Amino acid sequence: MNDDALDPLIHVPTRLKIVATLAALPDGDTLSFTRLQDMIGLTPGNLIIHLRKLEEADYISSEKTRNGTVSVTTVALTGQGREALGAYTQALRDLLGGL
Amino acid sequence: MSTGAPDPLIHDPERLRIVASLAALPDGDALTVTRLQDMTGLPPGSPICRLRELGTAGYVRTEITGGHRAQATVALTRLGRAALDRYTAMLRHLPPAARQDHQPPAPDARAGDADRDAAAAALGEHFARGRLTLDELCVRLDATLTATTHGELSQAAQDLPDLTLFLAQVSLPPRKRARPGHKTGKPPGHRPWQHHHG
Repeated sequence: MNDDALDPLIHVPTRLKIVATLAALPDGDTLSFTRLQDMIGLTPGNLIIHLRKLEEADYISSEKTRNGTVSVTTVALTGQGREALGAYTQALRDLLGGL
Repeated sequence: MSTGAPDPLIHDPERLRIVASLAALPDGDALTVTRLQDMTGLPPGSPICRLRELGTAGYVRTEITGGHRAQATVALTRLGRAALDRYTAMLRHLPPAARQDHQPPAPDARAGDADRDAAAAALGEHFARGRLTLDELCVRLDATLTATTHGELSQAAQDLPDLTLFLAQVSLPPRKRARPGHKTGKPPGHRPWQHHHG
């Protein structure tokens, strides 16, 4: 495996969008599942699958809070996820040779 | 084409490598397939398959030259170059850990309606996130909407984290939210009547 390989976990367009959206938040901020779904335009089931993959790699963290009868899931990028996205964009830029 | 989605033909890692190598050539120059394989470091046979896919889309042009020791050369077409340009433009939407081209405007630079609106939207987001009380929001909105310079705008948000990048993503064309049990069968943003446009 060469070092400049593109992280396959991030490279999938939908996950790239998820990670990029979360990365745009200031450190420590979270995004609710519904808001993220609105922004990305995926079905809930689809989004959950991608989020689970990212969470298994520790790229994102999710938290479920119960507020009375309503439970809200929020997601955030972890430090590891932010680093992975940084490495990914760098690899992509290197690959494109500053085009 | 829906906005923000990377061109799947270019996004594939192997094809991306090939297109990037070909794009580095001066316009009109071609590479032999063997040389391309060396440059990209792809496994043997792989470039041929990827070139066929790119060729079908009209992104690359393959020519056989020479007599008894024929050689295949490839070059990026105008179409391929345009597709790569669109692809790299998409990269600019990535909020990058290390991007140095973001320069805040000078404090005494005049602010326009778009700047005031963006700053007001950021305040609204901070209020929704519980960083501001309703009273504070009102005071700051007043200050923001009457600000004439970028300095005054940043004054109203100086103790708040920067949401510019995030709001830039929110303001992308809104997409219809998928409803449970409702299958559209088409990607969001797909408009059949615009199919032959551009």
